[in-house]
Amino acid sequence: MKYILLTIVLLTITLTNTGSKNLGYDKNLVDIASTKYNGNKYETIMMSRKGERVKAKYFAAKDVNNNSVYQRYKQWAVGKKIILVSSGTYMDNSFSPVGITIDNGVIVNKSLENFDGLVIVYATGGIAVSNIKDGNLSINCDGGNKTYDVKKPYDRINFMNCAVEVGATVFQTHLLVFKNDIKVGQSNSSQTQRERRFLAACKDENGVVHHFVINSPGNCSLYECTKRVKELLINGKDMEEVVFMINLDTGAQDVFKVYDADGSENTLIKGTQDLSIAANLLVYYYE
Amino acid sequence: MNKTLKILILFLVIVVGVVFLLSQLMKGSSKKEVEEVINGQLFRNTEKFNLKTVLSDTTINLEKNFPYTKYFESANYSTGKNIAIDLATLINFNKGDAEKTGMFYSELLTNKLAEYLKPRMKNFSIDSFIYLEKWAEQFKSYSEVDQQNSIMHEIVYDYWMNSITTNLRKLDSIDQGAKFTFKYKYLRARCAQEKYLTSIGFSSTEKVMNNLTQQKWGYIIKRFFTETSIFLKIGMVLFLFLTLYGYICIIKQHTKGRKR
Repeated sequence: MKYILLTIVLLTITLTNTGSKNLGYDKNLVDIASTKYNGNKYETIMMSRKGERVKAKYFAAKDVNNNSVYQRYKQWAVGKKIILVSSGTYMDNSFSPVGITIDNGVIVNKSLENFDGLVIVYATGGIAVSNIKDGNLSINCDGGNKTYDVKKPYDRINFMNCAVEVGATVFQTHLLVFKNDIKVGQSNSSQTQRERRFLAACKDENGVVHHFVINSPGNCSLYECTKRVKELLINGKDMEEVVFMINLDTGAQDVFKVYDADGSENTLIKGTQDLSIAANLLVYYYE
Repeated sequence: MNKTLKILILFLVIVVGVVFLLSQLMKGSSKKEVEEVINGQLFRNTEKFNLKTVLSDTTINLEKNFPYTKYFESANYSTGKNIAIDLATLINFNKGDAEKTGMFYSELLTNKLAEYLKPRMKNFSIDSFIYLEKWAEQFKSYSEVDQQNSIMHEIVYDYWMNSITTNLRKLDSIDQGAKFTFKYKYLRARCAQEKYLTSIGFSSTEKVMNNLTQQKWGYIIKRFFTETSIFLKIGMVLFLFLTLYGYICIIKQHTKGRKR
């Protein structure tokens, strides 16, 4: 009887641990590195989208049942092979997302902000970024690609209806680089000297898309950091084109966790805040 | 040290502290002059304007010849009933083309109306936007009941709700104390209920308070050393020194008095 009880206890402990454990991923698709380029320190996580095994997921806000972003992430992450988790776009003083935000087809915020980047995270794990200024935002809708200019009220309504219909996740942020062009100006961007984090998608010489999350721990202005990181991607990481680069929030919600290929947490690269305070989360995982 | 000098230093410390606190409080509540409320009559005009007479000439170019100012000074667009009558007149003018009419009418009640209101909204007044929000809100209901012109109503509603949140943000950047007023909170809450979030960032003081409540001591010290000017650093060290010195003086004086 004693042995049976002991076995049950051990089995329960094992099962509970397996449930919350990160399961690891294919190390050939992910490269985690701490580098120094042109005298500046960076931490880079490079993820290849080859075969579309590496996917993105975004939690934009609390759900309809008032579950926090952290609770939602914890529930979703069970059995997933997580690569990294980071704070996403900006939040305001009520801890609500800033700019147009749609979470899994649920509208969170309809207010258009003055940021040029509109990010669409598809249920399939792909990410597309559009330059709002160009007025040619493209989204898969009704089985085909549709183009909208969200600055125009008519298009904005139709775009949001479409995003709700396909269950897309959408958020707005600063667009720093688009198709190799730096979109942020020296004088009209944040001059605050601080640490920064970016999300970039690049194409290598073979046309393979790689996603990067880059931590820039040294203090610099938004423009200066953008310039340096673009240089790092093109010359330091041998990328042919920076398709887009956007800013990730390192302010009040500096949340960042990286996992090694064996599923263990990387203790060297991390944010200053606990995951539980995040108002939104960007997750990369392997499937 | 001379007793009078000590008292003088203590007095100085208290004065500096009080002035600092008051300046912080005043900063939060400083109120800018705002224009008089948009004429409350704007959306309450009672006199109707007969659109049918203007459109009796079916050859006119609607966009060019439409009497915009006259229309905006009328009661034609203030209630759902009036809007429905004008829409029917316009559809008739456009030979039954509801989509073309919808595009024209939504442009009329968004960009054209905004142009008309612009000189009246140079400065901000919360009351103006409360009027505006009340007026815009009705279009949400129309979009649900008037299926034929649903998109047109949605456009008008979305345009003005976005405009209100943008202006609330602008007002906050001009007057830091505005967001604490009842009217501002009311309007912000109304917009938030409709999922138009007025994203107001953290002010410097709020950021510090937020970091303090979250006990991010290392982060606060790091930011203080990396981002503040040398003058502020010297000022803060002096303030700290003077405050501590003031306390030491008080304690010394107190213990001296006890010994006697």
